[in-house]
Amino acid sequence: MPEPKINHRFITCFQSSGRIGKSTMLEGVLAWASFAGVPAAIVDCDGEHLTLSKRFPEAAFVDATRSKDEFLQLMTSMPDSPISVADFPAQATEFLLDSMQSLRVLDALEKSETRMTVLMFAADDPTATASMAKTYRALGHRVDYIVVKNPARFRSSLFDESALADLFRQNKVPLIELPAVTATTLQQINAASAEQRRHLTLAEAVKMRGLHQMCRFEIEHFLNRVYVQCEDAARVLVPDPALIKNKVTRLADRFAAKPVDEFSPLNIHE
Amino acid sequence: MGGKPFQSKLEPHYDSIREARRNRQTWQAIVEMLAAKGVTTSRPAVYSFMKRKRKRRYAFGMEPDEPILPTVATLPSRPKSIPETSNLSDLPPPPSEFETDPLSLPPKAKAKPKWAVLKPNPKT
Repeated sequence: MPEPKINHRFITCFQSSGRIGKSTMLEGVLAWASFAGVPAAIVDCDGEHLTLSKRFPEAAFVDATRSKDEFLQLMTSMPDSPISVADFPAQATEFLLDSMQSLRVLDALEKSETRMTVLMFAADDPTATASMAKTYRALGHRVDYIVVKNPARFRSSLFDESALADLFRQNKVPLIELPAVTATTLQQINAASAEQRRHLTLAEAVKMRGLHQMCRFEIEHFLNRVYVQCEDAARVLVPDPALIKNKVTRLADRFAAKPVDEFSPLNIHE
Repeated sequence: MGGKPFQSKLEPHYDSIREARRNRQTWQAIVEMLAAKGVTTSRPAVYSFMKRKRKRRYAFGMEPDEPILPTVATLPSRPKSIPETSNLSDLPPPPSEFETDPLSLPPKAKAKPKWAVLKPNPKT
């Protein structure tokens, strides 16, 4: 059976756990899309945190999980952009999956040449695990997945040993691991945001002269790691990897390229 | 028992108090007006008197007569500039908020686009 044609990607997450990095990951995807030169449409549906709408003033808040009518309006107004990103709130898995099923959203998306990419946060806590299982059971192989690990927020050891993790590995589901950002850097970003009277994105914060240089280096490291991993997962993040206009320059790691000789560790030749 | 039933000394001035209140006079101004007429009273006393009068409680046998309902006044004749309509069916139908199906809701105003498209910035 030939692969259906894809012109759009709808990226979101249906998991119920809060504070696991959903909005941060989506912000990272948006930052990479901007870097890669791929237009992205966004909407913020998380009324509790409003992360995306605070950081991207263009993004509107839509209470899409309030009723099925609101959800339907959101889905029917999805623009023709190559990437569309929706940040749904926690504790909405049941509502979202039920709406997806009753409105036959996947059938409709398929007709409009759109394929969904669902972020799966490999957190070991029961809520995250249960909502991940529900999401996979409801959507199956009709969507693409990205496994996200965020060691600063949660452990993933139980997930790694699960059958679902094996299945994802067999299907070569991309894995993105969010690097940790220190509390000091986060405080400096908050202080700079207060000074600017608006919430800075990480891509904006990295250019702020008011931040300490090491904090800016840390943000830069975070973004670099996210960009590299997003580019590696481009086949499920953009409808066509040919849309990527700007690629990440990858430097060969000279230390990693030459492993330390255990028997003569000091035998270093430049 | 028996004897003359109690009657407030403000009773003869009820109409003037009510008229003053309708002219948005304060209770204090009414007390001063009554003092000018030789009636010594206080602000709460006037207030309580009017509050009690509003409740329309009368001592047994002192109820006023049943009010006579006003008769329907004869309407003035229609000016000739407005044509008279002889039959209701000649009237245009009232504007309906429904379209053809009474169960359908009236159309909503076109909502603003909810999605925002971010322009890429490869220099970042």
